[in-house]
Amino acid sequence: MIARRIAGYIVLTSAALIFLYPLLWMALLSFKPQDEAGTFVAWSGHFTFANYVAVLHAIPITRALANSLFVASATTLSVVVFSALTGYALARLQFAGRNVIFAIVLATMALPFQLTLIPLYELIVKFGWTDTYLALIAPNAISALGVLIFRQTFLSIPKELIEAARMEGASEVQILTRIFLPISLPAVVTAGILTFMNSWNDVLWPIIVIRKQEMMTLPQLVVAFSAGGQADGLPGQQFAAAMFVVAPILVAYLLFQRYFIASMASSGIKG
Amino acid sequence: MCTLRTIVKQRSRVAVLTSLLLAVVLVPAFAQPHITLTYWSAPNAEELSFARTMAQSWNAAHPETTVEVQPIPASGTSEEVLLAAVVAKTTPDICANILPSIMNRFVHAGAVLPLDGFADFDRVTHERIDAKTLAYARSDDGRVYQVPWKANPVMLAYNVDEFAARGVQPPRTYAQFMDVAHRLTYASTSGGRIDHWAMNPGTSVIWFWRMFDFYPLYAAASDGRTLLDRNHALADPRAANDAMQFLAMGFRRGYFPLAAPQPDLFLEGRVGMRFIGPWGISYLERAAVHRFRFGFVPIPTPAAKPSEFTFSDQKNIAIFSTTRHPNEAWAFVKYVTTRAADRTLLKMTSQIPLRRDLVNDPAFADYFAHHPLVAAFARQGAHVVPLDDTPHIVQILDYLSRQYEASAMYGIIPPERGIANTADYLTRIDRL
Amino acid sequence: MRVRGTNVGLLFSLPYLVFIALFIVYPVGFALYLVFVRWDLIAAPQYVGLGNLRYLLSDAEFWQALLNTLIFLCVNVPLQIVAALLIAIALAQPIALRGFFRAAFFVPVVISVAVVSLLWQQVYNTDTGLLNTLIRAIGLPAVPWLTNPHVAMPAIAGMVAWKNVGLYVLFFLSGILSVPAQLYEAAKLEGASPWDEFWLVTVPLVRPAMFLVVVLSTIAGFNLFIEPYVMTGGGPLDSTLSVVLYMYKHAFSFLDMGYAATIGVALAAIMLVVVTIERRLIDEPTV
Repeated sequence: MIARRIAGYIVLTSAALIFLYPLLWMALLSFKPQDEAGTFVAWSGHFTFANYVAVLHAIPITRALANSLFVASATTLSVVVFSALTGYALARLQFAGRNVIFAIVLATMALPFQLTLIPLYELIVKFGWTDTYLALIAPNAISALGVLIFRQTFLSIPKELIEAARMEGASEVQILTRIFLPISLPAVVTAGILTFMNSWNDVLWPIIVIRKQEMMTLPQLVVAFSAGGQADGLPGQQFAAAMFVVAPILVAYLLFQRYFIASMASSGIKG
Repeated sequence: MCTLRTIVKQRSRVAVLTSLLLAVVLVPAFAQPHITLTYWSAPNAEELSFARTMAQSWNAAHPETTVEVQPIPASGTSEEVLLAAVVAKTTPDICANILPSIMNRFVHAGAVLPLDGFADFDRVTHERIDAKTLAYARSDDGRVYQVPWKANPVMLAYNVDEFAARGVQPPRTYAQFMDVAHRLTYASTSGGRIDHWAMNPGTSVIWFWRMFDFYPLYAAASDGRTLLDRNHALADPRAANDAMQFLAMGFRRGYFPLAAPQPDLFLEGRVGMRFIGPWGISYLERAAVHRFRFGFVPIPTPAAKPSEFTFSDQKNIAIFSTTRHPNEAWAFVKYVTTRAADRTLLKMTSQIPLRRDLVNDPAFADYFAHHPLVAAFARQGAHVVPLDDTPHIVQILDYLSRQYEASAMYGIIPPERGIANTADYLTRIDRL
Repeated sequence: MRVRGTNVGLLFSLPYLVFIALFIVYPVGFALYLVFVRWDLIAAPQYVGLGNLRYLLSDAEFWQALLNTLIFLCVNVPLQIVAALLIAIALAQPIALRGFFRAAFFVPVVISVAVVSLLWQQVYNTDTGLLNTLIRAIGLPAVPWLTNPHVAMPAIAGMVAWKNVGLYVLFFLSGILSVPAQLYEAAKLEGASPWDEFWLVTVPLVRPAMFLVVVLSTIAGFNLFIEPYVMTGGGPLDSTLSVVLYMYKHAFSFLDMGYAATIGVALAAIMLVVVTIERRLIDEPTV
């Protein structure tokens, strides 16, 4: 028994080191002067902000941060609102075509994005939405997973509640907002966190539809800066730029850890 | 007395006065509509400065037409940006940073104006440009949509101090080059790893790098042929083989390092030679950590030749069909390519105007006398060849890059095999 | 009530229907149309019949990209399953700091793939990277992680495993913890060794989680883009070229929208087939 426990601790500690040390290395390296790069132990006697200053001068990173915040928030709001609406309709409202729509929801979850990537780009170009926030938000405005999450949650709310409310003459909108949403806060949080995280971290789509530097999202700008040669291959600067991307989500994660973990775990189980 | 009649009279007087005032102010404005032209320049500081100087003097002389200079938005390559602008219909009136190889798409889409439609086109171009350069600028449909403007001939830069220290002369043939390369590859600490090399050709597989390593060698070895012939096959397979073998030998023998493209080893003095254009003059003067003297010679060739060719790396000027003032745009294009303008271009950017017989032109003699390094590029400017203008050029160079990686860099297949693969690919590429 | 429900239900679903029509139905249809044309977005599309499909069949780069994906999956999936299972088993025991450990493993999961790629590009750097510095310190020769065509794709597979294992630990953990203690006790009573316990009790009960890991990893493998884009550009020698990267190249470097869409359609079809096969092989039959 004891041996097992010790083995367990060894596994867990080494694993924790493997998962965390590279990130620590990155953070520390971003504060080190350039000539000290390339050592295993990341500590240094000369921590400096020089890399961050260089990054702030080289690229509009605060603007990109704002872009990412705006796009992720708008997308999350949109997804929560419309997924709740649709999920409610599918769960508790009777109407023609309800089953067909639900089948469509399930089918779209299996749809690989590679199929629609190029046509979506063409659509954005046709609408004249390139280099706009709309191009980043609209194609992600509703998610099938969101609809599914809300539908399943609403299904678990007893019918009697609705009957009672309807008897009292409440409109469907009132039922949704006053009764269902408050009860299904976990679903809202789950959908919200998943959407926000995906929107914040997405790089492929912004690379395709955004070309102007001022409109780039944060991870996109950091990639352009690092992979595009502006950082001159200097890891210190690349990491400093990367830290801008990492810090917000890390802070959010540390504060709302439980919700992050619960959300992602449940998304996998439902998927 | 405040009768209605008085008030009406007063008001009418005010009305008449106001209308007169308005007429005086507005009528001239309507009679002479103000024209604004947008002009896209390459985003680097020198060219922007040149463009702004030109625009300023033009604007002063032509109050009714304002030219507004904008740098090409920097994201990705200029080619990508221009194509995106055409798709989104946000093209400027004039763009002066067009790589000739992408013109075919613009022509095919009707995005650019045929310049030979202007009445004075023949006269103006004949005065400035020689027949061969103009022939390259002619599109597939026989019309001319671009003005050949300036070249950045790629030459071989060498570290004069390093060469003196190693006791070698700048090479002209492949054999001489390999000899020199051998002397330039060494370890600075005895028993240490090799940290000085002969040259640092690009090790990136991205297509445009081949314009600065393989293509100049090919142009030199083929006496100035373009990559493709009329049938879209390799114009000179033997020159292609020679160029690829040259690169392969350099890598095999360790004269070229397999390091990543950055940092600039030539700048750091760790590599004795590099391929570079005239922009290199100010780049090397400005940026070198340890200053060294540098010189330029033509690209080496398999055997000695009377004149050596190279890649022109030229940029042309085009007028987009979205313009609402084609005549004014053409007027400005002419303005930017006069002798005086070409002199200003030389002075401010060191780039070589594609003007016929530049080296012997008395208007420039004084400048060349004082700037021998630029003069070397100007002489080279008479023997340059651009890259082919075909819709598949990016794809072809991409394929060539992968053959370059396999045959020259890693030596997995012989260089002849790499060129043979490319020739074969060219036959398959027009698959549809 | 029924009439009211119909109107309101459709009304509530309307945004979703509009969204689907615009961003899913139309693109899928358009993708299928693009398979039969050649188009550079600027000039008018040109009908080419089966040309794109024929070219795809003989396109060595496309098949290389598929092979790369296979190599990726062969390294990535077993690595993830073994690592996640091991960690989950260790976590399932009554230990202190379980919350801390679980949170620690999960950190790479929330970090953007772009950042992870940039980080590991440095970690894998032959001269100055974290890994090689460590390897050299114990006396072994440095490994050309991203510059050797045989090592590069497995290296990327390892990096993706690093990023995702935290999530899969959760899946396995919930599976393991759901195993009633009585089962283990019963097994012990029958004289089962720890090894037997593992194979005969634990593994079957985490089978659904394992299926999930395989499917999600497969999808991730087919979706690889930003990792090779940032770290290797598809090289060396096309060993890290992913299908999505290849598709991107055709669309935005070569401006061949038709062929790029063809690649996309083919990839989607292949992926659906692979996931279906995995379903048959790994997932439990849903009784």
